Amino acid sequence: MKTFEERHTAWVDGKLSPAESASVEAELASHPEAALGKEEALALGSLLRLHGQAPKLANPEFFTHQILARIEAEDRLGRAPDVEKAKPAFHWPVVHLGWAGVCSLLVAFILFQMFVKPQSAVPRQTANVPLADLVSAPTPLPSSPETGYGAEIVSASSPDPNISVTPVHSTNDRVTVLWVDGLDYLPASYHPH
Amino acid sequence: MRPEATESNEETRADELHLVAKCQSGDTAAFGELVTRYQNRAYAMIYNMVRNEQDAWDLAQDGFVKAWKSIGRFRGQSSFFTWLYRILMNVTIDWLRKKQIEGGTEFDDTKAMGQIDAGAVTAPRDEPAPLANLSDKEIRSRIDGAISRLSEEHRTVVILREIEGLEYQEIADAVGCSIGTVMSRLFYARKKLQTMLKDVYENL
Repeated sequence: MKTFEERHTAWVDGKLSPAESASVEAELASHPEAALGKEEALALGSLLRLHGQAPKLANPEFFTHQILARIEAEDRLGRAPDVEKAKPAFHWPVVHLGWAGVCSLLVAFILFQMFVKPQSAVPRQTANVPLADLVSAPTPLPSSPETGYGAEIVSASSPDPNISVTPVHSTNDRVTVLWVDGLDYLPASYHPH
Repeated sequence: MRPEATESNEETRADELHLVAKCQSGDTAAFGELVTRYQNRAYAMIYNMVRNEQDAWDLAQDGFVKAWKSIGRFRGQSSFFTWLYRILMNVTIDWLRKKQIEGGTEFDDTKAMGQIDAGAVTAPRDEPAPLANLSDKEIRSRIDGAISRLSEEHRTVVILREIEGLEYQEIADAVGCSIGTVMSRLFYARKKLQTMLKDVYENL
């Protein structure tokens, strides 16, 4: 339902059906102070159109010149127009980018499930563990329910470049051996269990 | 002065798009041609809103410079002038809002409806002088004064409707409000102008 103001405006501008116009005119008859009459509104409109028009632009050549001078000055300051945006090499709205991101994550998750997760059923400890800590580590790591291994040492290294460490493990024997070359002595912290 | 209605033909539009493409590759001379083509309409539209030649000149300049900076985003979905018109409108409305915040006051029509002290020594400043022989310049001055006393919202809709000749939907798009709001603002803007200019249009 339109307000009286909206209907009055439409009536002044001749946008109402005869029935709607009659309804507005009836309201105006009972509240003449509420709004200006149609003739007054039309007179006001023609006054504005006849005498309210803008004067002509003085010195249009200078107007153009001044704009171009401003543009050149701004270009010199490095504020050239946004030309690259006119022909983007690749343009996707945010929604498309969002969907692309979701799909990428989904594919990555599936690949992870297919190729990475089965191999990591046994908890791995892949680390550059300092040799001294490794040799002397007395704390048992949590064991895998499938294999019973506490941990599988995938690689090991020594901070001493003269010492190399190679982990060797046997699934059948459920044992891992660290093959250490170049170790002349056992660290003082080593306590066999 | 409707932007869509003034587009003459396909040839003009193709020429215009060609100029825009040149602008998008950084050709300032092509932009100069577009400025020459539309500066009168742009200036008139802004003048009608601000009612001051110097302000209209400055705002039109700002609008064209802004258009140059944004021309890369023009995709040809509307005519160039329709696109430019929105930029000019935004520049002008922002300026009017800022000016109003900085101290402009809207016309209070209760004053002109009998609440002026009967014993006042002088007539209120905007009360009209005798109107028997108002010159065009004086009529224009009265109109400018009346329009400048409207709020930015009322001024915009009444100018776009009465002088620019836009439809309600076009005004709603330009201003960013509903058609109902446009119609309601028009009602009050006309009513206020009637109060201020009644003696002028009744004596013409």
